[in-house]
Amino acid sequence: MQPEPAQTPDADLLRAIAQRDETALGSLYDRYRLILFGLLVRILGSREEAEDVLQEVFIQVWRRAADFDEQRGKAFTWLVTLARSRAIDRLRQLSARDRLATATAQEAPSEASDAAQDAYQAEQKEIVAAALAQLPEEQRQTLLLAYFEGLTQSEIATRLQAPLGTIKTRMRSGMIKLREFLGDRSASLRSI
Amino acid sequence: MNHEDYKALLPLQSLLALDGAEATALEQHLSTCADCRAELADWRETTEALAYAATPVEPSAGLRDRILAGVRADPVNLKAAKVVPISRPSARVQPAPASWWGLQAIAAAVIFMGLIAGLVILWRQNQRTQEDLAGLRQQLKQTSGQLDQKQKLLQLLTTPGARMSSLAGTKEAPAAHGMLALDSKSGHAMFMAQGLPPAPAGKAYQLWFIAGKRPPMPGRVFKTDAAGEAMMEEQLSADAMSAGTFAVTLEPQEGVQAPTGPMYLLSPAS
Repeated sequence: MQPEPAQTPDADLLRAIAQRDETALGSLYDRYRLILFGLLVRILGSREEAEDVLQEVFIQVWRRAADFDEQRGKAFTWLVTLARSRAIDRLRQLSARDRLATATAQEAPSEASDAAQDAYQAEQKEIVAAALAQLPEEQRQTLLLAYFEGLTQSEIATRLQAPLGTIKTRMRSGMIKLREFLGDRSASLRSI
Repeated sequence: MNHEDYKALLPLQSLLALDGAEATALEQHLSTCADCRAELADWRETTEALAYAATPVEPSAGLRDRILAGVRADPVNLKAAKVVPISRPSARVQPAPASWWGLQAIAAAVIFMGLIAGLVILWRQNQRTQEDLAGLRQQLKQTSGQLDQKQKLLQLLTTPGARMSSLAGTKEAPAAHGMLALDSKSGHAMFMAQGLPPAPAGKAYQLWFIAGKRPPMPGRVFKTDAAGEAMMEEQLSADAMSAGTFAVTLEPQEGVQAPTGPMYLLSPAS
């Protein structure tokens, strides 16, 4: 299933989904399944768990598409926020021992296929990789631990054997730098 | 914490990295501060770009169909529970989350009025965002759905000739409880259950009508909601109406003609 060359904007898809248009939901799935599933597999360390959560995410999209407000941000951000928060919730429900097992034995993602992504997504991937590479290692590390392993700031402090205040500062600084490097896209979306 | 302190937490919140107490405090602040809500949305644009840093992975081929099937069957699509003849045990029931003892019905009505009042206050003060309002509307819809069912139940119970049977949990689910309210004239029945464990994938609970020594007659299949409750309506055949004993077993989700699975609820023999 290839995305059409002239794509319906994401926000339009969500509007259609809010009107109970199944085809639009299918299109949204086709467009973002690789990124979302890749994200979930990275967080959960299991294809099976990731498929469960991806299914839950799309049910949530079906139920809550009407809540999406274009003025507040991009549809992609809304979608990824939903997916990641469900994944982190599930991850935090697992016992500490399960989480350790997951972190140390991440399943190698099969069928990783950059080629199947559309040009826009591939470009975004490059931009984000470049931005991350420009962060000081200690800042980058805290962001990735929070984002992909769902650790809280105090859990990161414990993991890295660093004071909580130091971790907070690194994370804030990292986020500010990341936002600079990615460009301030959000400003254009707000109607100030 | 002052306002600047809350603002400083926003990028961490967008990462979901705040610990419990700080996260709760920030949530409370966000419910009253539109500026911070907007700024959090901005931070999320940055944070969620990190999704591109994960290696893309193709899910299994069947997942798309499973998702669409799940979406088609989602309770949010339905407007009202339908009444279906008992002869088709494969009919699926959409359970409504409901607590259904008399006093709780009154409590729900109070909550309903509270929600109405809450909505009025919100419109006047205009403090909440559209998102919060949509959430409240959703709760209102669910609650008024529950009230419809309670009204039906009340009507049923106050019909002359109506009878009730209570079902007790077996050793499979000692804490479970069920109730069947039946109007023997019309054959209209409502069944409610509490405390049942969630049915495993591919399975559902099925209601049975037992009259004397005859083999059990199949009723509808149902699943419980996240709170372990279920409520459904049935239209009984003349045979089923003569039943004095009722039971619930766990069966394949399409339902079966004769019970095969373990029994979870059983009424005392009449």
